[in-house]
Amino acid sequence: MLWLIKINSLTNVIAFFIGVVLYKSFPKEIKYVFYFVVFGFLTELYSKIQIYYIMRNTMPIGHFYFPIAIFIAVMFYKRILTGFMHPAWIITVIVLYEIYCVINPIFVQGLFQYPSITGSLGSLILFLLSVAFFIKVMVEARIEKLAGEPLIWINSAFLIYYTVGFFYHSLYNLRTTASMEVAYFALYLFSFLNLIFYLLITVGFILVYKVKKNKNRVIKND
Amino acid sequence: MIEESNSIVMVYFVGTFGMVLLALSILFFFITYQKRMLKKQLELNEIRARQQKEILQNTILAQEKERKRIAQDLHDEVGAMLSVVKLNIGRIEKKSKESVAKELAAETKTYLDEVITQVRRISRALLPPSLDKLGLYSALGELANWVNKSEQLKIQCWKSGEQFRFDSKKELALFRIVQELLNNAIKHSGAVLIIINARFSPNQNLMISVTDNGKGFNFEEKMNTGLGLKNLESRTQIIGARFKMKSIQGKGTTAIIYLDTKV
Repeated sequence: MLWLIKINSLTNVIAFFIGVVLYKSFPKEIKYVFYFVVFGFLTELYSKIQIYYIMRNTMPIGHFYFPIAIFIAVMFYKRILTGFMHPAWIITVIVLYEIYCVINPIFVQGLFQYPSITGSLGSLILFLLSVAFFIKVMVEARIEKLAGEPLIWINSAFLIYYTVGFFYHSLYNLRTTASMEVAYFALYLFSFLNLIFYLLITVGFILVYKVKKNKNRVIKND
Repeated sequence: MIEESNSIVMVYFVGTFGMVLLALSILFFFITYQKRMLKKQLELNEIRARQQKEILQNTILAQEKERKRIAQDLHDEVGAMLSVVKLNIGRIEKKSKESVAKELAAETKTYLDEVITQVRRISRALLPPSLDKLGLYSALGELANWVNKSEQLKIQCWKSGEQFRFDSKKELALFRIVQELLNNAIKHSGAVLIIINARFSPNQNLMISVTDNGKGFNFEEKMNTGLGLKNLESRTQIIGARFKMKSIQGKGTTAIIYLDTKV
């Protein structure tokens, strides 16, 4: 099962490189998803460097990762939920969340403790936003072929990842009190989840490119 | 300690499984609901299309009926009366002793001849008698002859295969489609030559193409702004024919109609 942990970072790298190659064909909302992937990739890279050269405890990174990653993802949702949810609501939620992310390491969970509250709160926000997007699609009923729509793949990735993520982050500190076996078990689960998440995001990126290419072809034929 | 670890593993496993199940349930609900919505929408679109087709069919029928009535009135009543008037003027011309009156009568007769020709042309355009008597190709030839008389442009009419007769409504519909295509070409294309090609296959298939050497047009633009292209498409659909149109800007336009007359 160790392979799962090893390829965990690789899936992120694949999504990152495919995003770099196809970046030009991305509309603004997909660019937010790409920034999210880039930020995840850089964080992963930094944590590896930190483990080798600075210190093994990577908990402080989490305190910086969540506010920025969740902010980028919420910006993505703010854009795709235009016309369905008032932007003021989304901005209010993200501002409150960011305020809490500042308060949390100072007063609630220290810098060297896993930020389970910010993690689970962020997951909850993204879970609700992903459900809101599906409701928007259902109400509008404009998409004829769901499998061909990149936003459906990307939103499914967010839905699955953050539904399980909410549970995972909430109980994260519980596993540190248990044995190494529990820690590894949790890590396997999360690595598997990560794999699915980045695979779905990569499919979304490729579909954006394909859809754009097909649109261009139709215009040329006319 | 081991028991505690096991229970934590259990919590993790069951919890994660539960959450995955929740996410998948939401996805499943979304996909099913979406499919059902699209199916309903598709059904609604089909009903709408059928209704529109029926409305168009009825409109065309009413239009044809009215054209037939006007054509008959023009031919039987107006035409006949004009002939009587022409005869009377001829008599006035003969009996008149004054040269001024004779000249006036002769001039009026010439105008009258022109009016009779015009009435006959309108009557034939509304419902060509040759369509019913001699068939589609003859009617198209007659239509081409009328246009060629104007000497503004030339229409060539070609045929391959032996002409066969089929459902009179379909014949009339095809005639109207070609008539509309010619009207469009004359009005908008600036063409000097239009070629009508009718291919009658032994297996009762018919293909008619109308090609002009005009300026051509942007298909998408005209599809949105009119030119009766949508109407042409609908007319062909109603009789179960296939309609294709190709236009290259600066090089002209070709329209092709295929009809399996057995169906």
